[in-house]
Amino acid sequence: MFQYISRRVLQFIPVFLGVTLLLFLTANYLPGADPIQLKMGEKAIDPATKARLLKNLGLDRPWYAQYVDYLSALSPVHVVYYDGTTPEADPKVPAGALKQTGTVALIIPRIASEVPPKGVTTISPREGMTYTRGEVARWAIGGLTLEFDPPDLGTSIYNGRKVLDILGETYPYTVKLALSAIILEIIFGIGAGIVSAIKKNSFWDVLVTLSTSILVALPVFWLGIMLQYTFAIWLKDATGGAFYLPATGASGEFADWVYLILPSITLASVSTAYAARIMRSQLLEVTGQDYIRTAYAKGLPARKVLWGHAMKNALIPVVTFIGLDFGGMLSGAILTESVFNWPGVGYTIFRAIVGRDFPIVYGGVTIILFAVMFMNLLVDISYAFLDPRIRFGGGES
Amino acid sequence: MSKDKQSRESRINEEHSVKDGRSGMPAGPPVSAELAHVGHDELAGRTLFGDALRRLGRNKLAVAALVWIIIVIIAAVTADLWVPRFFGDPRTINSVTAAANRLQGPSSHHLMGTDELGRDIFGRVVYGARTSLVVGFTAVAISLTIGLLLAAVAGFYGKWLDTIIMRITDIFLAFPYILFSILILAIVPPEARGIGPVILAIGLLGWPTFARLYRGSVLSVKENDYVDAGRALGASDARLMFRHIAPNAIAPVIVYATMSVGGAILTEAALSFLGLGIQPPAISWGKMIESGRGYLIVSPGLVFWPGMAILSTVLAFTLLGDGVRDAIDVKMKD
Repeated sequence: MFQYISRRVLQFIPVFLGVTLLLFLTANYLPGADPIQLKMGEKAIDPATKARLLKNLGLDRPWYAQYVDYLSALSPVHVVYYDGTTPEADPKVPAGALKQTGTVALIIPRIASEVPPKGVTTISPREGMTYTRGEVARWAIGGLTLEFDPPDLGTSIYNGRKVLDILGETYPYTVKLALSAIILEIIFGIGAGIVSAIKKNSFWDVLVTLSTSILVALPVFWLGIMLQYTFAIWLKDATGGAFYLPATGASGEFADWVYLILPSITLASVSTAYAARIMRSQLLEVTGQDYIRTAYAKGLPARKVLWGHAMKNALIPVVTFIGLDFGGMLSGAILTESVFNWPGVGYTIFRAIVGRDFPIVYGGVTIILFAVMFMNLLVDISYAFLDPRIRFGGGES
Repeated sequence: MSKDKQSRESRINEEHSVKDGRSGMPAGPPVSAELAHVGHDELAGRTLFGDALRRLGRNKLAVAALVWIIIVIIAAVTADLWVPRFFGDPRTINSVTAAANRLQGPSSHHLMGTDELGRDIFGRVVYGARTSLVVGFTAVAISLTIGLLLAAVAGFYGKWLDTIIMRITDIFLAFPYILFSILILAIVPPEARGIGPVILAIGLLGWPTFARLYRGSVLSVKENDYVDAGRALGASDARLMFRHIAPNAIAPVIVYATMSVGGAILTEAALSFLGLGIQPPAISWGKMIESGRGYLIVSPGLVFWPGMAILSTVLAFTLLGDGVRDAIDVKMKD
């Protein structure tokens, strides 16, 4: 089991590197408005000031250097290049400065060339972290040095806040929305699937089949807007303002959970339809198998056959789907969040892309990748409990 | 093989099950539903393709979906001939009548009413179909081409080439789809945004699923004896790939491609809704919803009708895909 988990975590590394590399490559070619100009608004910028700002933000460097910055800031172990400068050569750095910041440097054998890539000085200039190349160099024998530091995702270009803080504020909203949507999905998706499978070809079956087809074809954002119209505008008019649901927002005059109703229905709509379809087809396939016939032949009541025998096997693909879907919801729902002005991570990343606030984009995607990967792992592990036939040995997963 | 047979039998049993509240119990011998009502004469000279077509024709829902798609295509292609004549040109703003005509309710002259600039909503929905159909078909064609080529190479040659291609596929699949397309479209400078970049973004991101599907299919077909026989007879790799393997491995891809057209239409609408897709004055259903949002309280039709257009068109492609799947008898997950 431990071996299996560690192998899956290792498999995640190339995917993570690939996605982030692709992200940096793509984002590097974002033209048009440059971040500094966006930050300054319409005002003309003094070229020297602009150069300084770009340098402070680390944006004056080529994208691959920025990528290395990002990776090393993310990992608790940092890669630092040594260019031979000693602390004594830099009078601005007081002796023992490194100790004050609580940074522990690990010295590793020389593996890189002694000449650092052009322009690379220290890794990720961060607030409160004042070490320069001189400080770090003191701890290194040359070549490459590693140092320990908590993971960091940089600071927002737009407002100078830490990306981790921004994501820490928005992510709970994404989790709240995802949780309530997944609850709806479990109840209605599985429920509708079971009903339509055991009452095959009945009115309810036709209703479920038809409505799942429609739900899958629905544009999510349109559904959201129509729900807003129905429950926030039309219902308010119809009841004379006595009863309605809030159209947008995440807090205010209503109890917190009320704001979740419309967004979570919107977010859950498509997945609920898929869950119901999978549940139905799985249950139908399982009930056609011999062991179910045997169970009936033994004289077991239909209820017991369904819950004790059929569901055990039919649920496995459904749980897989819902688990993976939850991972998808944890990556933020850009459309749902933007329709409802929901301050989640998807909307935050979307606005950051439009506003060219790269650190937030990188940081947000990082968090998303970890969330998705964690859910995938959880789904795979849950196989073992649902289906004892699956072994975590060799073979392809 | 046996599993396939078993599932086919269980489905036939299902079709013949007596409604006694215990579905899944077989009633009567598993006679093929198809052969039961086909005379012997008709069996002569039948092709696999003809069979599939006949089965598709028997599926009422799929036929209705196909009819709807054809209606939408014809309406979109011929729009210039009749829309401006009956409903006024919905592509331009008539500055004289715009103020008087804006935000009208449905009437005989404006079937779905008018928008905030006095343009006919029905006419705009018809013109919007052009965008959606072009994006849907071309984007899927791009995904299909990339996916099939990569998968054919990966599945046929295997080994390290397979590993590399499938790892790249994994990376693409791990990236949040809508986020990536937003990123790609954000690269495009605002003045260059429009239908081209949207098609490229959707097409370039859609291939991994095709690649996965087709690779799996190729891997299983490759093991058949007739492929070995072809190789023994001296057929080239390309010939084996295109003449022997492709026709037998393509079925699940066809089904998925049909449904993907609907998916591409949905994505285009979403991207245009977010403001990164089709730009005015070009007409797109997603953009119509976005700009109609501001008038939701006064005139919900501005949002309602384009949404219904998306829904009905995407639904039609989904149902047609379902029909094709049943007709060519592909076992696919939902």
